Amino acid sequence: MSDLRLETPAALFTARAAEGAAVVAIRGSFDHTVHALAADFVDKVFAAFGPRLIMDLTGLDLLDSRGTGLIVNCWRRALGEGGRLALVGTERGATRILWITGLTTRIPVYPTVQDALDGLPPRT
Amino acid sequence: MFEGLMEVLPAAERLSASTARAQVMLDVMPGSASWSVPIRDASGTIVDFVIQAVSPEAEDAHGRRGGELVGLRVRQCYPSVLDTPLWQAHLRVMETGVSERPSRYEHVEAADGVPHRSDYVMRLARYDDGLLATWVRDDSEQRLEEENRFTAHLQKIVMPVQDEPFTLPGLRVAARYQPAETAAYLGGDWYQAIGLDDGDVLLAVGDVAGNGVAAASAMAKLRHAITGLAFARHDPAEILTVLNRLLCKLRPDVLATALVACYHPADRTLRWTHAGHPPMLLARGSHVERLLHPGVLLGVFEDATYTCGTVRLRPDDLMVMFTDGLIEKRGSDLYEGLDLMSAALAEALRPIAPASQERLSAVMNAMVPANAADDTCVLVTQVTQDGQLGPHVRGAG
Repeated sequence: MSDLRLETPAALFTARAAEGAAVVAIRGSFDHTVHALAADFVDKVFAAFGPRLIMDLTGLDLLDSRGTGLIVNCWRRALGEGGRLALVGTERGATRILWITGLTTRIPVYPTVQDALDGLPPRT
Repeated sequence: MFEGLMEVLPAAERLSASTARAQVMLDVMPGSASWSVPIRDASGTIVDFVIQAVSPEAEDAHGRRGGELVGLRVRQCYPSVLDTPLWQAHLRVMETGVSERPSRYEHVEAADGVPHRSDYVMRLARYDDGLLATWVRDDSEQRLEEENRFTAHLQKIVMPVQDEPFTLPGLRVAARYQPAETAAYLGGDWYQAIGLDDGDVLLAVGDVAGNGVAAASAMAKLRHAITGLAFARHDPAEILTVLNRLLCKLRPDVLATALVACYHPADRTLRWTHAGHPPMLLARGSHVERLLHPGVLLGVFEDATYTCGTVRLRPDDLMVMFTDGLIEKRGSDLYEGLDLMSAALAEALRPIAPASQERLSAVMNAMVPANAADDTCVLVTQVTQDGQLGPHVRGAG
């Protein structure tokens, strides 16, 4: 599986394989301006790596409701395809919205990518 | 040694006569049309075209209009045209004199790094040693503009905003809906402030993720559902619990946030809950605090439930409800934005006497969007003095 990469002036999306999961890192702005490109990117990630995903949001400086919606869609899709989705982020800065929206009550969030990988249940 | 680089234009005199003839024709043509002459290198090969005359309404992919287009070089201005079938058609028409209607041309240019597409239907003809071109833009952007106009209209029908403050039982109310500066966000935000038939007052604001007609129609459904459930005497927590189930069932594609409050003027209690939405602010004197009682956003988890917070208000208290465009800012935390707003409100209220009606407008004026690209809703209510209660007050208890 080769790494995936999508770069716009506003945002950088990358995906790599790690410990039987895909680590998707999003930097910059995850908002309505990149929503369509991001949705395409996510499709490619699922096709290339399958439904076990870690989404690293620590490099974001903006996460709006469209970005949040895409995260929810990924989470639903991962579960629907028998996989998992975990987030990496903190309760401050751009990712604060994950707490305000209450998503962190159901979608697991970890402070680091390694913690998230360690938290994934073994593949069945 | 410069031979190969030399560009040859038609003789100036002949050119100005041809240009004048073309201009006469273009002056009476509707839509976008231009006449340009080829620029040839020393070997006679066409390397570019320079626009000599245009129709009055002509507009190009960059928004340049009419006379602004004269003198522009096609390849310089639209570098992505080179080696496209459209460019080949330009050369062929000049070569053969046979008019062409190239297949739909998709012009792509990176604007701010995001590929920007516009579709054109062009017609080309040779006229007087030059190229006559007419074009019609038929692209998604144009359709989007139309959709935006329609959405704005729909928004006004669904949610007419009262510009002047008005009164509801026990409350003075001011509201504002401000559409996004860029239309991409239009359609998601809403508010509601309405007296119920039992004397209570429903106050709510919300936000639907998305834009355009789909978001506006989801917004309309949510707003009406909340109002209906409030009239059926459900409290805010029950309203949002039902609404979440409804949204999960009927519109699984829609995510929404909402803040719903019910004010009971007889004893000045406010019950409220907020689903994925920033908390409202309570301003008392010049002290501003958050009224936090959060629940998860709507439309994601089918089994989500909500509970109400309750607060006893005092006369002159201000409740400030809003959507997140007011506090959302690149590189900043929503709560930092909330703190900034609280500080601005405290500052605006400090010089104004607690009972003054000017406090309402002072708050409205202090509520400035942090992110002009987003649409915003503001709903501010002020508790009126005892004795100013409306006629519909129901008995306590």
